[in-house]
Amino acid sequence: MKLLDKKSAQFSEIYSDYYNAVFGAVYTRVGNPADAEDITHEVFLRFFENMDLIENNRRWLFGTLRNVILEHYRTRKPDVNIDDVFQDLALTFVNGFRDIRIIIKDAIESDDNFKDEHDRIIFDLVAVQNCTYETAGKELGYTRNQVKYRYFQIVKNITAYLKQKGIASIEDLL
Amino acid sequence: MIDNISVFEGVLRKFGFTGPVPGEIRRHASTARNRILADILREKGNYNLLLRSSLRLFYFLRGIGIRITVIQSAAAVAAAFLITAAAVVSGSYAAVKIIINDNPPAVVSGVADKFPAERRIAELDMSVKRVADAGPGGRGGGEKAVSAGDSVLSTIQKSDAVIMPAEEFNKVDISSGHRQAGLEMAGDLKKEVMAGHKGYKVNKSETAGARPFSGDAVLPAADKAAVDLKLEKENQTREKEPPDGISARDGETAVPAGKSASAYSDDNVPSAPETGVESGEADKDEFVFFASAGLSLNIPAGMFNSLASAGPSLEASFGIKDLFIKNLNPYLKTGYYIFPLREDRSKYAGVVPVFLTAAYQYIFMDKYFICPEAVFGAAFYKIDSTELSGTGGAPAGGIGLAGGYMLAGGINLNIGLRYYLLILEKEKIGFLSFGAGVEKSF
Repeated sequence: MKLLDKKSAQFSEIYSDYYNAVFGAVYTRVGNPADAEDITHEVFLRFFENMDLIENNRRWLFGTLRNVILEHYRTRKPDVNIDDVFQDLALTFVNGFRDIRIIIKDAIESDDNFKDEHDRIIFDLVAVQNCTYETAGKELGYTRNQVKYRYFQIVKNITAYLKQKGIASIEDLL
Repeated sequence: MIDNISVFEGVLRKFGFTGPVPGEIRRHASTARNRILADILREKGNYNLLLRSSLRLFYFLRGIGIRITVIQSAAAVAAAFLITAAAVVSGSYAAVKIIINDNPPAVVSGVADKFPAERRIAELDMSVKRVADAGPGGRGGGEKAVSAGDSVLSTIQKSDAVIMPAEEFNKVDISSGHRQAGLEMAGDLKKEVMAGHKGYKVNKSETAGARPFSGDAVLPAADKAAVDLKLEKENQTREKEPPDGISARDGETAVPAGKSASAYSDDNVPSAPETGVESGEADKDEFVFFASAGLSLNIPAGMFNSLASAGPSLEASFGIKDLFIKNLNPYLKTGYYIFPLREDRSKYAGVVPVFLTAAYQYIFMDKYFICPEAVFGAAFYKIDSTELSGTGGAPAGGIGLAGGYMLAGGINLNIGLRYYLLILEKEKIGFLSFGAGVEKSF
């Protein structure tokens, strides 16, 4: 019997890093904490099974999250319109700033604007889910100042990226 | 910059990139986090006690801003477990040793059968204890309570009392409690005999040649000869004269045994004089020095962790063993500690401390030891980050726990976990240090 299973240890770390980001993302789509818990459980269960094959943890988790939510609605709530749950595309046209939104999305997705996966998680927690620096820090094992510093750097990078793409002042977008 | 952040977040909201999660939902998520992880690991992984304990430490450290891996956490848990186990074992060992020293068992063995004097002395030790339990003069309570005088004598008679002069008695290595009891018993015995108590009968066949209570000794003749021979041998090997011992009441005492059995055994001649002075004490004037060198991994804690990440250090120490108090080993430690800065990993914060450490060494199982440590001193530091920068000296302190294994030739291998705190002008910076090293005594 192994004293400490390396895979379990590795999984625990990844789980601890991404759990809140995944849970928050699921909750914003299903709006029910109990369902969000079940879906998060299922996403990470699948992650454990496929861990050896996964190269980009974040991409895999958020991709699987989408699939699991679709399955959830198909089996439990067949009357719900899936497009309403994943409303990104709809928003593009509703706001009428299709191109700008695509540029911002590219900026958010670009690896160049994030130093590492932790930067992305900080961005997900602070910018997307409105988490405080302190809470994000506790979840990730950083201090409040560390999170704040990293977040400032991310915003700086994204702003610079938008400038490169012709958006000289982000204030103009408001 | 803060304005930029607000504007940026406003843009994200406007273009639908945000999905706020309310505080109560986040709290719900936090409570479910460990449960879901445990469920998954139970189902698919190996959720054993070590992993469970490691995760507890892992989450605790994350909560205070220290980021370590689960493997490192498991190593820390295992080390803590081993140190705790070592402390418990050594504590138990020390306790048992103290109890045994205070209550030496009667030596009734093959050796005792072979040497009647030793056996008698051992049995007498039990008698002395019974008398001591019963109180001075043989009065008092207790299971073996003796009443009004004559029981003192009968108890002693049963075990063949050995009476000898105080001078000889003081040379016998016994516990202070038994020594006192022996003195009291001798005094009581003499009083009873002098009063012509009927209950006391000397076994003439065994005490032939001895001079009962004539100021010298009461001892079976054969045993007296054995004791004399032994004392003579000891006198020959003795380099120093023993210091004055405990003065006996009325000039004579009964000899309890326990350790004294060994004092009279031909097979076990003590190397140090049987003077009540512990062996090795004669060397106290000569200091034993030690020096050590080691490496450690240092993890910044608290605010310092937001500036710098874990870094290594080289350490060197020099100290004196058994200074003032046995097992107190104070030493001076210095080293060079570097911490890569998080904002620019090509830069380092550097610390060069001079610590005076007081370490008290508990030895157990002959070869192992643990040392709680208290650290005081000062440190020279150089930090150059946007949030904190400066160069200079600062008072410092810390606490630690070290443990190790003693090899032959005065060489020890040791590991330690310490926490150091530097008090700078504006901030306090602290770090945890996991170290390992080699020590040599000379």
